[in-house]
Amino acid sequence: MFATFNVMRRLIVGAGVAAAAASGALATVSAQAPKVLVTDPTSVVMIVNRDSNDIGFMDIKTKKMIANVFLGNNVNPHMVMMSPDGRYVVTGGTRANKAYIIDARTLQLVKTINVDIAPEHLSFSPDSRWYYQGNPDGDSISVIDMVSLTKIKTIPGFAEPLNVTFLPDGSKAYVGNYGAHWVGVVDVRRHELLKKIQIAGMPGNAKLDPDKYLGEIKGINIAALSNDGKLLYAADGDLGVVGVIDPVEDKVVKVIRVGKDPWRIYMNHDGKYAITPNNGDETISIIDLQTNKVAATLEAGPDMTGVNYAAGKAFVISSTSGFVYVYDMKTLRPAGRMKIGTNIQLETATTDTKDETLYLADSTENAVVIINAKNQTFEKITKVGLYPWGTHVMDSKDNYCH
Amino acid sequence: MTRQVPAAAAAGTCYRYRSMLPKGPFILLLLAGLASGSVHAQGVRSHTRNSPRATTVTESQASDVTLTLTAVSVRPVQIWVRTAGAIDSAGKVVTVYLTGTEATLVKAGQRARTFPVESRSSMYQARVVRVAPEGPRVRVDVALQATGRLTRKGYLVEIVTDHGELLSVPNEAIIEEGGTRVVYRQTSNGQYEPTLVTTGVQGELYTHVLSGVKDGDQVVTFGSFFIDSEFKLKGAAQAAQ
Repeated sequence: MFATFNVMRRLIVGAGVAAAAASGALATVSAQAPKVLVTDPTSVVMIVNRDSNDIGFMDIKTKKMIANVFLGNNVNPHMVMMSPDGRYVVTGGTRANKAYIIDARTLQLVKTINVDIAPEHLSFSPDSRWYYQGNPDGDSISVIDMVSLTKIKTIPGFAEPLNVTFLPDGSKAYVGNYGAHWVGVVDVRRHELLKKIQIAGMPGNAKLDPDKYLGEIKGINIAALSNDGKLLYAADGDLGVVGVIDPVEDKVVKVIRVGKDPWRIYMNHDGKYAITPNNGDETISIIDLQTNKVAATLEAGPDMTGVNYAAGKAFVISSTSGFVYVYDMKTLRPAGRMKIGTNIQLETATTDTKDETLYLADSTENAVVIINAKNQTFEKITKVGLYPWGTHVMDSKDNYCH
Repeated sequence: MTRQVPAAAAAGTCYRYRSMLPKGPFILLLLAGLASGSVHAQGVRSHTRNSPRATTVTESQASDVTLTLTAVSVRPVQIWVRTAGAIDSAGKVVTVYLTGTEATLVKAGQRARTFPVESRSSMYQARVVRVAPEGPRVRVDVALQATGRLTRKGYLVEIVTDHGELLSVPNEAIIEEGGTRVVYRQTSNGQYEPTLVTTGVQGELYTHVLSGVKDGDQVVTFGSFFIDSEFKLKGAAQAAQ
């Protein structure tokens, strides 16, 4: 009888615990199951709001903000990107020395990962597996495994690494070093720096004027891939050249002289031309990618921070003047300029996947400027967040930062 | 004088018993009994010297092999159907033909990514707009969002097929051994136990798990082969003792 009672008691207690656990689990599920806010990852523009420390999500169709995902105080996110599989949105917090991973459907911050000093630009491997976070002040790249959402390695040995470009097969990544004149080649299987490709020889007067050439180095921002994936193009600010790299041999096969202080190179979507905005002489150099020669040098504006392509035109952002300069990419001639505002600061833009619309971050007005590329008109969407620094659309051909 | 030790007894517990073995017809019976006793003894022995259930990895070993754990959890599982086709003269629609399992995965409305064959780094976003059987094949029309390049007709297409939210583990956590699939599950800090799993659909990065592990379990992704060899080496070493 006693034994039976004990068994019964165990059963009752067990059932009670199970019921409690079940109800607890249900309560947990109902409390934690986040609502899906974005069903189609291609339907949103992401906005990096530097001073409100968040990532804004704007619906492309309605032009309304869906959510602002707060990252934390004093984070200062720099660049945002969605993984190619549409699963995650990531950003590096420059002042927090952390990487932030957001679920792209629920817009919940799911992971914060310590990286090196001052993370800025980043890139995904084509298979969405690796997230390379550049740390310019740490002179390193943090390798984040997007399956386990952990940092598995820090690759040292860079000099102010800015942008990372993966080959289409994901085997190697090329890192632009703004604090040097070489491109780093990373073996993506082992996540190791394999080689440093010097773009061009330093001028002899580097020894005579080290302050100019070694103090504030303006080196390589990015090694950008040609549309056929066969060559990489890297502009060097101090040297005023674009080095053409063959990724099979990892050698410079040609050096093209462009204007003074090219910021970086931007590849046109049709694969025929590329543009370097040259802030040293306020021009742009248009490079013919078939001949690897400068096809045209045209006047532009001061402090250029980006180039976008849409509707057969190039849109060059002049950050401090409030103008966007437009060029016809068929005739290679100027096609006017758009005055976005007075006493404003423009940052960078992304182009939609239809190649029709630009989304330009207007930091001082806390706005995103939506530019219709065809008729060169625009509208401003305000209150997107504080000090929008950049924008991003999944799979856009113009996803970059400054 | 030397005595031959029967194999059964050698594997058994006590040689002294055999010296007292009675002669005659009981011998066979007793030998049978001893034989069964020796089987039992073998069981005891294997019980006391059994293979390890789990293996332990030190922190330095884990660091050397970049040992990484991933939670078993419910997450979207995607299969990317990779194929190739031709773009139309307007540069707007790529038509591909599919057969077999791949054909059953594709539906209108799915997201796709297209690349001109000669331009692998230039990607166009697209959608499946039409799926229609044509004889033994299925014709799939994929509409590009922008106008594609017409320098060549050939386009590569990746169709993203979503299989819903499934309990899953990363593909690389799974070690295939013959017909079985094993993952190494963390049982405590530094301890990993091989666990048989049955699997469903295998996606690009994750595989649906039908049984063997539960939501929240931590399984080894990076370093699973190292853990596997550690486990087998330790097992072999113990068996040899």
